[in-house]
Amino acid sequence: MSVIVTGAAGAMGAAIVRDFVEQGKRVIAQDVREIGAIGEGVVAVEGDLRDRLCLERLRGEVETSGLEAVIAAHGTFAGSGPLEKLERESTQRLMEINFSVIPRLLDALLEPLGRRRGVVVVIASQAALRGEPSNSVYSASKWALRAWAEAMDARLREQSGVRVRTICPGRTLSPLLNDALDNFARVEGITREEYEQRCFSLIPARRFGKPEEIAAAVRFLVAPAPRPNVLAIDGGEVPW
Amino acid sequence: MNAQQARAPAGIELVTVQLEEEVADRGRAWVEAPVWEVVERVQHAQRLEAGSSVAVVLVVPDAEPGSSAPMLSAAIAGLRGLLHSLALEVGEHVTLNLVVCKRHQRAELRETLEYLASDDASWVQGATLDLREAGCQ
Repeated sequence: MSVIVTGAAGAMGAAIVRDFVEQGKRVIAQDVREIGAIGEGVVAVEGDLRDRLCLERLRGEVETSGLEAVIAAHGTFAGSGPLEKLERESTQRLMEINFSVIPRLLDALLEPLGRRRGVVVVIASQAALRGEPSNSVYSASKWALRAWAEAMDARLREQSGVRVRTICPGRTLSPLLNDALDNFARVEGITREEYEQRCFSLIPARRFGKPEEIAAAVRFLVAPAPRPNVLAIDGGEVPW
Repeated sequence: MNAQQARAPAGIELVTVQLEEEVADRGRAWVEAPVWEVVERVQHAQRLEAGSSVAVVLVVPDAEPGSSAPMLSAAIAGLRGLLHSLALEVGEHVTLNLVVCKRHQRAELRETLEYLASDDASWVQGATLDLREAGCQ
C-alpha cells in the first residue's frame, strides 16, 4: 500500500516522508524541486502539480499498489505581501499552487483512494485560522483550502469512506522560516534574536515547531477512524 | 465503559466533563457549570512540573435533538475560549488542550489522548480536538 506526499523536498514534506518510511510504507514523493535521497522505498516524482502529466504519473504509481493516504504538503509564499505590492500574475500563481491544484490532485486520485477508504491530509497554516497583515493572499489560499477540505470531508465520507483532514501548523523550523526571520528582522531594524523573542512572546509554548512534530500529527490524522477535521499545531499562537 | 470513564495514558492528566442529556436549564448545566468545573480542576496547573500535559475532555450526548445544537455550540465555544486563555497563562511549561467527543467514542478518545501524551504533541497547545465527525453531530 502506498502514500503520496507532495512538497516532499520541503522541510515538512521530507519529515513526513521519513516518518512514513519508518512505518514501512511505500512512499511516492512529489516535488517540483529536486528530491534528494530520502530513504528506501521512496519513489520520487519530480514534476509540477499544475501539469496533467504529473498527476497522471502519480496515479500510475499507485495503480497496482493501492493508495491509503495523500498528504498535500506543498505550498508557496511567493506572490503574497503588502497590499500595494500585490500583482495579478503572482497572486494567481500562489492561489493555484496553494489551493487549486489540490482539488485537481484529489480528482486524479479519488478512485484508488476510495478503493481503500483512504485519507487526505492537507497542510494548511495558522494563516487559515486568522487574517495576517502583509500576507493576505497567502491567508486567502489557506482559508480556502481549509473550507474546501471540510466540505469535501462531509461529502466523501458518506460517498466513498474517504476522509479529508487539515493540519494548520504555526511557525515551523525550515529554511523558509529562517529566511523570513532574517528578512523581517532587517525590515524592523532589529537583530534576528530580538525578532525571535518578539515571535516567542506571541507563542505560549515560547518556541517554534519542528517538522517532525508536523509529521507526527500527520501520522495521528491518517488513521481510518474519527479524528479532528482540523488540527492546529502552533504552540498555542492562534485560538483554535 | 464509555468515554466518560476513559483512563488517562501515562504522561497526561485528564479532566472529564460530561454534558447530561436530561437537564432543564442547559444554559446553566452545559455552559456555565463546566467553565467553573474546569477552572477548579486545573487551578493547580501552574504548579505542575515542566512538560506536563492536561487534557480537558468534554463528553457530549450521542444523540441530541436539533433544538439543543445552539446550546451545545455555546458549551464547546465557552470551553475553547477558557482553555486557550489558560494556555496563554501557563503555556510555557504545561500543555492544556480540549478534546470533544461523544459518549461512545472511547477508542478514538484513547488514541487521541495517547497522541497528546506523547512528546510529539508538545507543540499542540490550547487547541480543540473535536472527534465528532460532520454529519454525525
